[in-house]
Amino acid sequence: MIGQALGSAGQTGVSWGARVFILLCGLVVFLWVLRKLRRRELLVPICSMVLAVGLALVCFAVRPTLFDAISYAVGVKYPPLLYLILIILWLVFLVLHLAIRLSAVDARCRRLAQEIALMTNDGAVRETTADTRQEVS
Amino acid sequence: MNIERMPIHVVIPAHNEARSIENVLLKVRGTFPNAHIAVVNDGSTDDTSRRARAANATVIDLPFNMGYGAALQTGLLWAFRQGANAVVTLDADGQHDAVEALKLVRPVLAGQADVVLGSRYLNGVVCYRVPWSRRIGAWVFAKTLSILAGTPITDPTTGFQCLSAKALRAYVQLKDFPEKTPDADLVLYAQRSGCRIAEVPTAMYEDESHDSMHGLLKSMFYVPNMFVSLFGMFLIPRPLTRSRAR
Repeated sequence: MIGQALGSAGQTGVSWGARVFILLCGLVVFLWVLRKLRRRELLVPICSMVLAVGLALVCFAVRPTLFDAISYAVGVKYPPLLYLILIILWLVFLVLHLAIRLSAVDARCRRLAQEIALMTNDGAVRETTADTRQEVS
Repeated sequence: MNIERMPIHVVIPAHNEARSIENVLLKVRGTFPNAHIAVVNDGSTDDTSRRARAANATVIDLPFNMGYGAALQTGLLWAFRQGANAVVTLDADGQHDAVEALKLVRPVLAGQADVVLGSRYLNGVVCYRVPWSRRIGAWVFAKTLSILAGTPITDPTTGFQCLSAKALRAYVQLKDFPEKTPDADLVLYAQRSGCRIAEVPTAMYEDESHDSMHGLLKSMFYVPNMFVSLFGMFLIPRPLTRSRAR
């Protein structure tokens, strides 16, 4: 019954073992990200991106033919090509997102360090001035 | 106008320059007795900070090594907050002669220029052997910068400069100040901010530490980065709007 609903290995081109493995991978990714999100150990935009991957893996395991249908619908005759392009796009997007964040964090970190250095210098100057005044009085 | 007596600001970024910093400070103090001098200690692991303090300079200790550009920007930020009218930047390795800074300060205080660059290639006053690779690189950047800025520049990689209050404000406001090598891109930025650029010939000596930031390996990253940075600066609308430059 379940086998009929999910489609046989012959129909989908993906063996049962492979589907179970992909399903497990998807669930592991999904649960791992949810755990990180609950502990606030991963930024929300990153969580969203990784959750999307987990979701895609689960969907693929449940209905492999769905992706093929999407591929044909957008005019790609060879579905693995679409998967490859989508994965590359996703990786490029992730790298860009991280690069932008890194640049922002780097600039903030630099400014913070500069301000600390300047404030430390200001504090030292004030202390020296106060000491000198005390000595004079 | 007695330039030597003017309370100008001097910014000296320093990273592990314990050997030369005292001499440099002595020369600066000898040339500008009333100057406010800041040594920006860029996370040195040697005695630079202590020696600079002993030489009666203001020392700004960065918490870790952040690169020449970040150290320079910190010094400029300090000078800006002190209300500086003219800021001289020079290297801590003894490459620049403080007496020569008088040539840089004069046009700024006279209101003739906002950024005055000390050039080692103008009228040929190089007092040491510059490697050919570096000469070629400097020439390429000089030509590129001259075309982009529309004004002839011979030494775009000089760290020996004098900035007016206007140029100082523009530099301090620059959000993505070049971290490692603020050279030709910064000059172009100043020019596009409406600052007047001038060059004067200055003598330059071999750095005492022999640890140039333009080594062969670093050059491999420096050259493409500088071209990208120059292009980025060129995209900034000219002149900068008043609100941005403020």
